[in-house]
Amino acid sequence: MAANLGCPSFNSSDHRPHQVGKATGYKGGAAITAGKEWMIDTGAQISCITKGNGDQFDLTLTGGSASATTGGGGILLKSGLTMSFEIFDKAGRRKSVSCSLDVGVKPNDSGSEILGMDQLDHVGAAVDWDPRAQSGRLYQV
Amino acid sequence: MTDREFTQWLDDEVAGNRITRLQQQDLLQQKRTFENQRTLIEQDYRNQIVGFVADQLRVSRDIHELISMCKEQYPKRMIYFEPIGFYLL
Repeated sequence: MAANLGCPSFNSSDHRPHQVGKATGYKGGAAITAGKEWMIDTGAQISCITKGNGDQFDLTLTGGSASATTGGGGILLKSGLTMSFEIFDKAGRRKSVSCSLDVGVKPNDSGSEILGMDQLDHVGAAVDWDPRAQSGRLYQV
Repeated sequence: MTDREFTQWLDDEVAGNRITRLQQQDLLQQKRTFENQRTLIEQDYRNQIVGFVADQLRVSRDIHELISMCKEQYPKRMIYFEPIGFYLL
């Protein structure tokens, strides 16, 4: 079966699902597209990007929390970013999808760029992942 | 993240022109309102996400539902929120 998830390109011993996609938005009025490697996190109720990723775009603050993440870390909610990734449609064809829900922005650049369950739910997708084979798929449900 | 760290983070955001001073002040005010009621919130809203916008309490089990509710009722106002008894990620 065709896969669209794998281990991260920068670390083949990481057994968490990743996919290369992109983030789009605006900076100084100019359209910006940045290639990203999303980590698909089934424990994330909201998608979250690092500070460095967020700073590439002009995003609009919606709100924030000093205590929303494991370990007591904070996030700022921002709008204006579109995350794009790939799913298999019901016919098994590769399909690019995008989601512009508000995202969490981390206070630093540690950790991954996280594609959370909010965005999968929004586009009607599910995740199937085999950590031993380091292979899996995002697919339309 | 301590209150001081959160405030410093917002200071850095203002300095970097990523948020306005007004947004910073609004968000910190909503955080103060939250802190003033923390004990009651933690008693009454376990496993829910509690937010304050324009000094009004809003509760949801879904972060995007909370955001939508707040944006609809108080456009452009800042939302301070915390998940009670769990983490969002």
